[in-house]
Amino acid sequence: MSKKEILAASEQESGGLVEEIGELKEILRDVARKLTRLETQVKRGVIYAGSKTSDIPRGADVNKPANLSAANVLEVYEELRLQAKNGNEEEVRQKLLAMSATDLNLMCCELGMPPSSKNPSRKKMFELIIGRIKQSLRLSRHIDRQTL
Amino acid sequence: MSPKSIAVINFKGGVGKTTVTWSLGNIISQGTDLEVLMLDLDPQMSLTEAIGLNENTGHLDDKFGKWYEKSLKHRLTIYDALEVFKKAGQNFKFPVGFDTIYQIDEQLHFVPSVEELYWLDIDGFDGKSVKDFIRRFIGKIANSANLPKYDLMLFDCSPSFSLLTYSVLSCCDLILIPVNPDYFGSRGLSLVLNSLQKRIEPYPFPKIAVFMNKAKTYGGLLTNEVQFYMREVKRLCDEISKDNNIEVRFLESTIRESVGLKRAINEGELPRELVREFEKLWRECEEYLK
Repeated sequence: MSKKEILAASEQESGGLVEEIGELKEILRDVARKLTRLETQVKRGVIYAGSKTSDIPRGADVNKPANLSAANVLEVYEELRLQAKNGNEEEVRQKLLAMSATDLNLMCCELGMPPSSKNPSRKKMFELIIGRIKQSLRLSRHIDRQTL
Repeated sequence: MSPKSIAVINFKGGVGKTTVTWSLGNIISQGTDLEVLMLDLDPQMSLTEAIGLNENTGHLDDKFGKWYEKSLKHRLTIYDALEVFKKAGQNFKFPVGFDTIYQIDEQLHFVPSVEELYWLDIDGFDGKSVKDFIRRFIGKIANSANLPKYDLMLFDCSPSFSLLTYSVLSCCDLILIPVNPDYFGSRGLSLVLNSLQKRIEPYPFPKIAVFMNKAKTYGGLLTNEVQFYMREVKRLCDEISKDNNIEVRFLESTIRESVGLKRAINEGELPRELVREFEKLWRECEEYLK
């Protein structure tokens, strides 16, 4: 084989290798795309599963006008307190869930616990109100040693 | 007519018992023609120190200091009276006079506390021997020819159910309970009312009045948090009255938080913004006592 023939053969070989490398890179890109897609789907799935454990709607627009007046929210609070006192905690929860973010925010303020942020989460407001109800019930609770 | 007696009490410390006792004594003696006697039953001696201490020098005020040393030296303090009562019982004889009672001004007099009151519980005193002590002690004061006819006695009690507190609660006309607008302050009321029910003797039960002290304001109005605790405390009073057939009244008077109030005792003058609030508190107590 002449020198020319040897050079032509190695050029052809390296060209083939470059082509193969290009194909492999394309396959890897495709795999990466698929992996990214899967990753996104998995992440979405986790968030969805997480949100299912908490039925408190995310996002709260407390700037909408309130449905209840200040006096009304205190009446509602009193009803909720009595329900909690009678052991109907699930009903209290459902009623609070049904209330708008604006009303929850107003109730927090009227109970002397204005949420610290301008746009508080419903979850935070929900917890503040439940906390106040629990506090109220604890105030008059006594453990009588005789009855234990 | 025997003097009316008011015990300012709360088993929680820091709610303002001392300042309330002094402020009421001050307002009543200056604004009415009533003769008032304040008694410090708290071994922490906060009221005694506040009345006698000169803030500038950190020492007892000269006039009060000399009087107090003399009272201690001649064994004429309330603790000495208690020791005599313990030994003598029904034959209790003690020379109550101005060696036991300090004259702050014409209409406001004062029985100071002494450190020894700390040791009452382990000094061989027991509930039975002390229970009637305050009744007999104020009886002696009321019947003394050398003393004015006091119209009102104000007791500053210790923040616990001590033997002297027990003795006062057994004979006073009104238990006045200041509470603070927070969870622990309100919880303290619940605990004190619960234990009073079990411990006070003899029946009938004295009247009980509760009011909000150290209330925070914003723009001149009570904050929503204060109002929340006021509703809770009122509900507690109503529930206890109803369930136990005793009179617990939640007063409308509210004393707002004031930085200047503690200093006021040393300076002998209430901050102007609080005068009306304490006057209103006294009017409500007076009405309730009728």
